[in-house]
Amino acid sequence: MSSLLLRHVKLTHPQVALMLQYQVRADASTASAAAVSNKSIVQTSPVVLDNRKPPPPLDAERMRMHPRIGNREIVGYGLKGKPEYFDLVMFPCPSIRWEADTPAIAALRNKEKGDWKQLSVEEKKQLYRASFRQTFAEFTAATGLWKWAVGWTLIVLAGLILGYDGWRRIVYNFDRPDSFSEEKLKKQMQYHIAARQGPMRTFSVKWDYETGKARGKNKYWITSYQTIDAIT
Amino acid sequence: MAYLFRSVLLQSLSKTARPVWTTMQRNMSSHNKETDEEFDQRWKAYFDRPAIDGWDIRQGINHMNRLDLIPEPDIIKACLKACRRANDHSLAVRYLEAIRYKSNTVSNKVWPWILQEIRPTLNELGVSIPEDLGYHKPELALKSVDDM
Repeated sequence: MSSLLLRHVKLTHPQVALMLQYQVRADASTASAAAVSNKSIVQTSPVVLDNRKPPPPLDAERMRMHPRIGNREIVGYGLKGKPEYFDLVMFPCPSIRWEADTPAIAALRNKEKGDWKQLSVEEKKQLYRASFRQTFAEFTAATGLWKWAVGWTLIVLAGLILGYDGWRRIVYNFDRPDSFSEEKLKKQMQYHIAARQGPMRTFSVKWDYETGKARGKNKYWITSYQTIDAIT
Repeated sequence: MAYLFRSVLLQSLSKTARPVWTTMQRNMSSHNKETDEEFDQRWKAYFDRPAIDGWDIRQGINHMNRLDLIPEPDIIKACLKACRRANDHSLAVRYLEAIRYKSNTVSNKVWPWILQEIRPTLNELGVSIPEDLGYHKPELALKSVDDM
């Protein structure tokens, strides 16, 4: 139907989707009517409604969701009451099965009704994978994303710091205040020494007032001012 | 806003005869707190219902999973038997996986103890634990391209 129409008319995507939805509903109504006569039918089409079940009432919610979840069985309330599949630690049981019931799985489910000791490990695994997409160990496995996050955080921080440095070099390009000049700093230090400042650790304790020079081994604080004439 | 303030003021004027703290009612301890035994009995009875279906089992598992507890082995046994009645082996495995994950976040000694407690039921029903199915490690993990 859609191909016939598409040959002549240019349709936008929502229009095609609406038409397909309409067609799916029409097919579904006829399919459920056919299911009345033959209940054991197993349908493989992903858009046709329930297989092997009495025809459901075609309420709006069911018609809205079933084209999305395909033929998968709704088995629970799940996360928010919506038929959607999630593998979550907080909600171990999603509301729908992961796979639709193919004939093979339907046969396995029949076998599951018997003794579980007769099921092999392989069959149990198949059953599990039909119901759930990933195991707990799989969806809680470490992804290593933290390395990516730390790396990009450091790169971005480095870029920001470099950018700020360049910006401040361009913007703050005025001269330094003259109190930063050599002779003013010298003068400042002379006043400090003359006022006997830093008697415990800093200035006057490291200044020999008799010779007028710095004393002690660590003279790094005064290296450029060795020529100070102290006002003593 | 002014109307609200006015009504509050009027109320406070009409109540100034007594100090406020004498009229205050303290709503404390009027509820019966459920004991742990009652909790366990309730959940055990929930899973022990003979006509329980897969929907209710899933609701129970999801609900208990978000409580701050690890269910008692009796509750786990009841849930496994409920899964048996609902003919859903993968649901039982999923439940055991959830409990295993939750116990291992607390301590790695809890899960072996739970296994030892529920072992008779596992053997009776033929339920495979996640370790038997190889689900204690990621089964379908993709190999890293760096290791190829």
